[in-house]
Amino acid sequence: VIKLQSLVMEEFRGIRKLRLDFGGKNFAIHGPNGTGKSGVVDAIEFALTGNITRLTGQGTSNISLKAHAPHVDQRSAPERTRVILQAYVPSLDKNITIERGVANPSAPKITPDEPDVQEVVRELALHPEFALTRREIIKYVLAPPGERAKEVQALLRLDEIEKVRQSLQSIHNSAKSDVKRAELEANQAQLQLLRALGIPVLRRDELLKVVNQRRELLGLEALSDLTANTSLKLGMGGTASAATKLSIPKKQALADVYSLTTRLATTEKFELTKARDETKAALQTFVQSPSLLRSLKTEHFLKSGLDLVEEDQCPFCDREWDANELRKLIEGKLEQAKTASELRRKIISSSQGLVAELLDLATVANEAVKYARALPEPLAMHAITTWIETLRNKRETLLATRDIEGAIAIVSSAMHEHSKTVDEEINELQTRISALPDVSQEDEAKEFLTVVQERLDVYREAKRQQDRSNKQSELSGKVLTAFNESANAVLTGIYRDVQEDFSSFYKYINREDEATFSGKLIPSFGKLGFDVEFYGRGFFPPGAYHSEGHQDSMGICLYLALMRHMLGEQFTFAVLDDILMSVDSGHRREVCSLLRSQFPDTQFIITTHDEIWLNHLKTEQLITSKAFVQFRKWTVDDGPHVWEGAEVWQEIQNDLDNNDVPGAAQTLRRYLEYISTQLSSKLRASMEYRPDAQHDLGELLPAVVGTWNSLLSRAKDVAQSWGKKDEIAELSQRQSEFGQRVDKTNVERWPINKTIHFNEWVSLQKQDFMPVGEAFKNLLDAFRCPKCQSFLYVIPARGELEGLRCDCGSVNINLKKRPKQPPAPAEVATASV
Amino acid sequence: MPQGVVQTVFADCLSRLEKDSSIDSATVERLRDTLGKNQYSVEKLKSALFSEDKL
Repeated sequence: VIKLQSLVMEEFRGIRKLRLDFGGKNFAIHGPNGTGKSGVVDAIEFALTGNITRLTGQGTSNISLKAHAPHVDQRSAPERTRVILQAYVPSLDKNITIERGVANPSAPKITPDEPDVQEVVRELALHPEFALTRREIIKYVLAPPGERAKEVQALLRLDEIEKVRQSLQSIHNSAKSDVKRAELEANQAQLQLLRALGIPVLRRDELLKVVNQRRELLGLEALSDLTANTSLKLGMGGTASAATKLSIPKKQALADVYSLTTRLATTEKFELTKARDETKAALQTFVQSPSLLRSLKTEHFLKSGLDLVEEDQCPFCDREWDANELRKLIEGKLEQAKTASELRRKIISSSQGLVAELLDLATVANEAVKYARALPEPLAMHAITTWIETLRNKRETLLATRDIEGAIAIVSSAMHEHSKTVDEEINELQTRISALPDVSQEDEAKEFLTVVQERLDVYREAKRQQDRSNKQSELSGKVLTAFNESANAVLTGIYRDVQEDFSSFYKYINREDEATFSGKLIPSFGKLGFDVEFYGRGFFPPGAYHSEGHQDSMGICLYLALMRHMLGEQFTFAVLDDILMSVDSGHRREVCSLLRSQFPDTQFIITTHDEIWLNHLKTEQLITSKAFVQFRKWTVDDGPHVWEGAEVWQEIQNDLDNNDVPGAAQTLRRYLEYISTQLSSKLRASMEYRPDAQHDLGELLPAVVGTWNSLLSRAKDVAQSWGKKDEIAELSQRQSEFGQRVDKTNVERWPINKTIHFNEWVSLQKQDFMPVGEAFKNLLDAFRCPKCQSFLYVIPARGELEGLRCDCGSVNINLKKRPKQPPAPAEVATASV
Repeated sequence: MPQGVVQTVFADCLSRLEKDSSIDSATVERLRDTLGKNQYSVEKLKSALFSEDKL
């Protein structure tokens, strides 16, 4: 994708103004905690994506990019905050610049403004995983399977697969619910039809028998078959003669009303009582667990919200959000509501019979109301109408399963529970219908056929709907299964490759004691298990037996394996923010070696608070001797302070101008410690082994001075071997001057001794300390090239010494002796004789 | 590359559906069209699967 060339940050996070030159190479940023290293990582992420994960992820509800990305003193002026990233795009062979400001993070200024460059920047914005912290990397290792699957799929850009899977699953679930609803309605329509027919079971021959009896009365031809389009009234004409036409079919009405009174007077069926008990028990689980109840209440809200997330904005509060981040957040909350959701499904299932009963009662009662309204003198049915409304509310409460207390109240009594007034109204209706004049057998037959035909039509439509629902459920199930099988097959292949790379990387780092190690990624839909082998004792989750340090190694190995698989040759850079905190020194060296050998074309920007790790990066040649920056301290006014000679001497001078001699002494001592570490590395000075490698100035400086003297002595011997007298003289002069400078510092050393108590040098005056600073500055100048001012360094970094060089090439002191010449042949012959 | 992986999954799934004689080709084509337009929402996929003109 790109290689980072340089980064300029202005008023960004804790940084006032800072420029770092990466030069497209591996680069390290070292400094104690709180010196601004992560600010650099944030700046790279911001330049590439317009976002800072640390400010916008989980647990950052009161923090925002616009308010908190600017330096604290510029929070009211976000327009002053900007980041400029220069990069090289190998695929385009172009240098590009991305300039992004906090005031308008989604509109970077991209140079050159060309479509192919825009496309690269757009693609980069989708990859925040180029910059990861230890916390973010370790989550791939330690996350629960469901969470890991989402994280890994998001990293591999496979979240689209998961999104389709979830949509198909949702469609199938909905289709299955539709099947149940359609079945309920078809059963209801069948009951109504049976009541009109006056037969117990719906069979074609039975139906034709009772229908043909009426048709015969009317002199109509008997129906021989019943198909989907058969009309029971075929050839009948009008419904009844004008003289005898009734607004209601008396016999049918009496049968329906009788059915209702019977239902209301009969004791509840055993199945219904059992269903009520089961439903009540499940509902009470919610009452006993407030957190479960809260999950249930938010589930519907979250599901609605998830469907509404389409843009980079929260659909509820309109706050700016990354759509993918927001979806992830909502899905996480929905995962928590899963237990509540399962219990809810159980309640819906156990209350299915109750809902059917409520629907049937309401249907029959509705028929009664229709009859009451159709009477010559309509009858008001207030109680029944109210009761029907109650039945409908009860049904909806049970189906929704949100009002738990209300649902418990409903299932605590029989579904047909009703007031006395309802009975009274039904009795009155029955009396009024009975009082209607009887009709002729022919008219009665006509009314029969009319009602049955109407109910048959309703039944047929309900069955058609049921058929449609069944087909939709079957189809959505097949598509879901096919999709799952395809995704499983493809993902299994991907995870197998990733798992192989992961195991090989981890073995490389831990080859001394885990040479037979392997890890397993186990995909199952919506989940990704991750087990690792533990010293031949079997496979376990990474957090089970492996140490935190090993888990850190696993994190980086899994990350590298995933990135290699995702990007292949386009994995051109990664920013790793203090990722190996718990890994010991030996294994860090191996991590350096792994990165160098396995990812030679990837540029790593690595931050660390650990100087030993920084040294490993250099000695393992992951970074060159100059490709790093060290932050020595941070202040809110100035941001990170970098160890630079000129800056230090100026700071010492400032302290002295303020008569702060202790401050000047401290700064000098720390700088000397820092620079002595650098020089000991550059000159390959040897020191007594310390397990923590924390050498103090008392060890470092003498080692550097001694090494320098040895190098000059060696250089003189070498010059002698080559017969270069001028060089010998020059080196002798250099050595003599160096000795004088050392002597001077030996005299003036005590004020920087950290063991001397503060009180002992508070009485020192500016003029007392000035010669001290001067002496050390002169000493350090002896290690510099007079032309380019760079510190001299030994080449090569390992093996036999060859030379002492500077950056500009004007100093080039030979350290390689002339090989001894074999004697000439004539001399050999003479000697033999 | 990731986009390739997603497309591979879609293609494999559609191929499995094509081989299922109980699913008509129009449904498969509508699904192909919808997935091809990166339309993954419940509404869009539901419309592709349960188009009124077929059921």
